[in-house]
Amino acid sequence: MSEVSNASDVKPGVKPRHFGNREPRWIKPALMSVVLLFMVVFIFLPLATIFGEAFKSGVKAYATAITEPDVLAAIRLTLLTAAICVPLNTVFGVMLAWAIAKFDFFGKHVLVTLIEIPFAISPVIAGLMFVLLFGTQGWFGPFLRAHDIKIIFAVPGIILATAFVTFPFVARELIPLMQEIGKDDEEAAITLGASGLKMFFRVTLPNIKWGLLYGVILTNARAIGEFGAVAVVSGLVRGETTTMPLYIDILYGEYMFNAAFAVASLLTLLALVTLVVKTIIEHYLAEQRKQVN
Amino acid sequence: MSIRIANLSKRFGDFTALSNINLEIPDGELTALLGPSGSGKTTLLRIIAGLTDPDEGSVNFFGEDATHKATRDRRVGFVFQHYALFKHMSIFENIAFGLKVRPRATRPTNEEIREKVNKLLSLVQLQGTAQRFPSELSGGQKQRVALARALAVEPKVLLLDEPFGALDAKVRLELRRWLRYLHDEIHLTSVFVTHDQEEALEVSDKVVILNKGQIEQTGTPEEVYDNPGNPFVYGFLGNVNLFHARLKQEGGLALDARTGAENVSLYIRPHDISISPLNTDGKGIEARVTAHRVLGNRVRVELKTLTGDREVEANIERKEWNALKDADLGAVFIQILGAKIYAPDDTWSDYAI
Repeated sequence: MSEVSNASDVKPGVKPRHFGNREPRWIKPALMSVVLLFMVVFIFLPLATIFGEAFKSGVKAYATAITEPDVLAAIRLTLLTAAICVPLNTVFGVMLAWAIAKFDFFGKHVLVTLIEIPFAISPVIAGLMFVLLFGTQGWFGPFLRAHDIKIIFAVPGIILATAFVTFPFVARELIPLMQEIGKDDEEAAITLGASGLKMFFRVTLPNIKWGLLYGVILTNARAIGEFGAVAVVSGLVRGETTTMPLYIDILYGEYMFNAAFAVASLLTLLALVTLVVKTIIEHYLAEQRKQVN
Repeated sequence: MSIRIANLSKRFGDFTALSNINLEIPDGELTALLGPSGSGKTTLLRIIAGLTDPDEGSVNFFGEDATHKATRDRRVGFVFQHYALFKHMSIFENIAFGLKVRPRATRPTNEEIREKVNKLLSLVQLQGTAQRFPSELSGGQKQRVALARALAVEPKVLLLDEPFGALDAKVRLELRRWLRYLHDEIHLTSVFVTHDQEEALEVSDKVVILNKGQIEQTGTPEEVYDNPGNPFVYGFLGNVNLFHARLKQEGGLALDARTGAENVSLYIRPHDISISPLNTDGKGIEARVTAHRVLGNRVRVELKTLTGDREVEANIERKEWNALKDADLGAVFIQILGAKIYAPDDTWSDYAI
């Protein structure tokens, strides 16, 4: 036994019952069981149900269900919507974040608050807003009718509504990051003779890439999964204006559980992939934050 | 003159950062912009660089009006307090950045760039770090890389914004001496901002003292230290004991008064005070020692005058303190070796011993 033992008043062979602040032994397992039970009931069971129901009638039935023309059309529309909304909101979000983080101007705080509006109001109201603007009885209705442009109950309306509900993600992620990083790097690039574009692509973009990617992933997840706003403007024309979430709802309403769950499983898979990518990006983002500080 | 600044003013909202600045920066010299925080020194540097636009006035570069010239056309090298190195680039890439972003027509070849970067790396004594990343270097090394990066584009003027501000005391001292040697070698017109008077006096050829957006005094370090233009400059360049005195013709302290005023202020540096146990020439002021602290080879002594109870700070040599230590510290005599007199009519005069 060492001469310089700290536990000087513990008699040899006698185990102390409590160390200082240690909680009773049963707390840890009890807490973990409660948490696990909760996870099983609320997350694992529903997930398992989706895939279980999807494959209930066999792989063949599943394959038939997801290759049905209306399903393929819904997948196409969902991907098209994401393919337009994600780049649009990425470019816009970077511009917005840049303006807010690097410049001072009148009304900046109001603008920062306004960015949150799509999150604050119900998606259904967002959809209704577009109907009131572009519907046949809406503000621009007569003009659109005169020029034979269809927005509501058509693909443009779906894209507009999705772009609206997803636009804050990139900007919201980038504003604090860009404010934290500051202007020094950009100013250094400019004094070294870089043009605005070279400064952006060689200095700014590498500095914000993980934050940007995180915002893009969140935008994509929401664009694919949006239901409320899209439901209002869609008009639910099968094979034309139904996105995946809308089509799942239709199939379910018609008691076609098999098909509904098959499409649902696809959407869930997309969400799971997003989640994994998001977790990986979060890791890099944390690393970068550590470096900045 | 390489840079000429005329009637320059800048406001941020209600705050006046600079008002009516007129300044000439001499060619090939190292000029310090010295002042407390909020004095406008960094704003002035940023206006010279073109990173901030002035509200009024003009900036002239080598005889050419540059007030509205874009930063990247000014050919200035800028060194930031927090280095501003590009974290995702190696040291080599950082230094080469200014050369690589040039339009194709004026861009040097890869071979030329490599040669130049290596030359700069040896100039800043960082050979062998080319492939490392900024996060692997110490603060002092990072600032030297930043300097090499700024020099790579062969600027006509080098601007440094509190370049040693983020470093610890020892590295700070080393690096500022090194900067002085480097400047003696390359003779590039340089302007650096600092709030540290010691740094400004040690490094620069010319000091510009700023306060509340205005220039208080310009001159060589010796000039401004020995002949401070006003009480602010005097107080800012070192510690000071301030006395209010009444000028009389007879008795007391002998003053070489070139002012007609009666009520004057007396400014005395702590090291212009000596302490002795005896009042040999009869000019001493009786005081008692209240505290002391040994700072290496000097001792800071706090005293209180016996009449008037005025606090006095003296900074004496260790030898002097050692001789004093055994004496009765309750009754010593303060001798004033030098002082400045400031009269309300804004005239300065020297205290005659």
